[in-house]
Amino acid sequence: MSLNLISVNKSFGAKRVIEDLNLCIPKGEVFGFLGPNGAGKTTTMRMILDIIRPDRGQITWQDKIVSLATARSFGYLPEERGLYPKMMVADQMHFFARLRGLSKVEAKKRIGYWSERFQLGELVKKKANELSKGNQQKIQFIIAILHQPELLILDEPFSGLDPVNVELLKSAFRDLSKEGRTILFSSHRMEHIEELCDSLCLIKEGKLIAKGSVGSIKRLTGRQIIRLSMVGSLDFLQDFSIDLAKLRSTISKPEEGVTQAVTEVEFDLPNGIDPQAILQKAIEQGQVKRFEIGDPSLNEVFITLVGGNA
Amino acid sequence: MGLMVLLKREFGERVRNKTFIVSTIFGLVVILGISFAPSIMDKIKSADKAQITILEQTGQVTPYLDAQLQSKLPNGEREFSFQTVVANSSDWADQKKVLLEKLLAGETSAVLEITPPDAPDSVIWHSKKIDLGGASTKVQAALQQMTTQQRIKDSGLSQPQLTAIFTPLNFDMQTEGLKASSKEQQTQNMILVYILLFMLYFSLIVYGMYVANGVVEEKSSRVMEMMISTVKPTTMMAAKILGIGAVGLLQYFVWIGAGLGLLSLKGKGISIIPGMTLQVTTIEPLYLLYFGIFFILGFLLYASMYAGIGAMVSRPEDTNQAVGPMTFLIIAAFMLAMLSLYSPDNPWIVGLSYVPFFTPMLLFSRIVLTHVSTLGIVVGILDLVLAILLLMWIAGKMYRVGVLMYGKVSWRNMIRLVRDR
Repeated sequence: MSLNLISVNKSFGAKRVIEDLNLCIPKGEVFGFLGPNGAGKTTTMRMILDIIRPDRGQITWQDKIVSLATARSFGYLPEERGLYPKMMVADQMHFFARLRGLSKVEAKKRIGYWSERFQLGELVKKKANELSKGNQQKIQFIIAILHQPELLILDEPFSGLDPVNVELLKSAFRDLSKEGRTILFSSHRMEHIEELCDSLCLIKEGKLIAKGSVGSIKRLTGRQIIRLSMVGSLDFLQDFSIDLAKLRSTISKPEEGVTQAVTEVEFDLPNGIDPQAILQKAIEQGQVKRFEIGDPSLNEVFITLVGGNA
Repeated sequence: MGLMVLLKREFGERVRNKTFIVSTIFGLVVILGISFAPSIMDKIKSADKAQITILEQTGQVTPYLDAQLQSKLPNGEREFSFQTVVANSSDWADQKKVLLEKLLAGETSAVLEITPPDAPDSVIWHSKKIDLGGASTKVQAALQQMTTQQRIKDSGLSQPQLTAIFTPLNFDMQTEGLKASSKEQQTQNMILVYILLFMLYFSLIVYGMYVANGVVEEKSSRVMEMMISTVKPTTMMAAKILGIGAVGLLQYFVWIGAGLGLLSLKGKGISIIPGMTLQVTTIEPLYLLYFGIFFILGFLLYASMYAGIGAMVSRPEDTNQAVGPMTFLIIAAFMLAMLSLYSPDNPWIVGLSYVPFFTPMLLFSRIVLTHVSTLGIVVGILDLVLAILLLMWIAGKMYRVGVLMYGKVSWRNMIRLVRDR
């Protein structure tokens, strides 16, 4: 009951797009698919949908090799959104629902439900080309989930949405996940991946470079991050061979009622240094508002893993 | 199931489209126009009255012309009316001057000088315009006949001898082995074939273009990717072609229905070319059946090619250019079919009528206009069907990979993609 990619290879002409990709996504998991532009994410998704076929290797869903029959049962939000430009939105949703085998009554019911949930209102009576990009995307998302697919493949579902719509989509994500549906999605917004995914993988130039739970990926770089905010001088950090000039995100802001400025810094914990020693020094130097030892953000991991050996 | 849903969309969206509604109404207006054209033409021709003033010495020519040129205008009035002015050599010049002034003033449409004194053997036609094949030609012919008769008479032949000389030969045409038994029948058939061929030509180009545009629309709006993960490309293509074909048929039902209705209402038939009338009662139903068959097969053949080509184009602007060669093929087929109207048995025409691209037009034309054996018809239809199946298969493949092709389009890329997928 899972999606399996077994040593999948794909080339376009002389260009190798996917190299020996192995993935196993268990049923019910929300899986983040990460990688820089041109890494082969869309190609992989297309192969899962049997739009293109791997040169070598296999892709199976519930132990069956993917085909049009399995693809029909999936929900798909392509990277390039596609709606019939001159067709009314309501007709369009109905058309795709019927195409996926829903009865007229059922289609109408679900379109009604999702239109309301996504606050479409009068938009359903417009033609697709009269809609903004974000709204077209909402329609397309509804189309992808109308037939209640067991597996959802979403290529950049959040791109181009305003914060309100992002929240709407996230709540739909959570509900679909609660219903036990498997969701595979790609995004360049790491906070969405961190927030929504159970596990993820990172590919680069068609090769898998990392996979696992969000926590394990974060620890992959072996880095520890110290987040410190305090009132007082930071000069003591130089004793721990930290270059003050290179500190990331140094923000100073005067707090209400306090004349002194609070300084917030975030830096990598240098090798062989005990964080407790830093804290102790900080307390000696001034008033510590916050001290945290943590994993780097997914964003930083991504930059390290992808950008590191570019 | 999938096919029905697709067909419904394809048909429904198109029939509700403004372009469709406007073009159907426009077609109806044209059909109405054609059916009323003859009476409008009559009205126009009725204004062509010729009032001719004849200046002559004897006064005998005018009654002769008056008797000879009895032709009537569509509104029942005579085409020619004559006035005579008799003059002799002394007052000829003065009379002529008066008459020419009348002509310039528009009181008469022509002044005819018969054997003026200064040129005893000639006739001069004075008119304000250069008359090409109109009244002057008819008058000239009548005068020529009069002179010829007079000259023969002068040579000493009697009236019975004269009559014998001028008795026309009986020339009868009888065609063997043809469905059309008479010349009129054959002319009828030719008009019918001409009209039907033109309709076929028109619809192949117009509806073929619809198909290509429909495919390009799906590609450029990227709906294709959604579709291709849901239905088979062949189903998609079949729905597109059949849906648009049905739209075309609907349009034709409206038009042909209106046309036939008007034909039977008017009863006497519509004359499209003067002298050739098309009557509803004499149309052989079998020909319409063949037309139906070749219309559908021809459409399927060309539409699958249009669909395949559409799949290679990624931007709507490029569609016209890409389908160019197809349009030429259809024009070539139509030209050949026009040739076949006059020589349906030409060995080239016969041979080409079995080339699938030309079969719908050429074989149809030959079936109506000449004798084609049943075997010939069966072979023609069969090879057309085979070609359709082959082309649909190829177009389906092109369709399948077309979704992945954006930007540069080349046959090499296409073939490679079909192989790789």
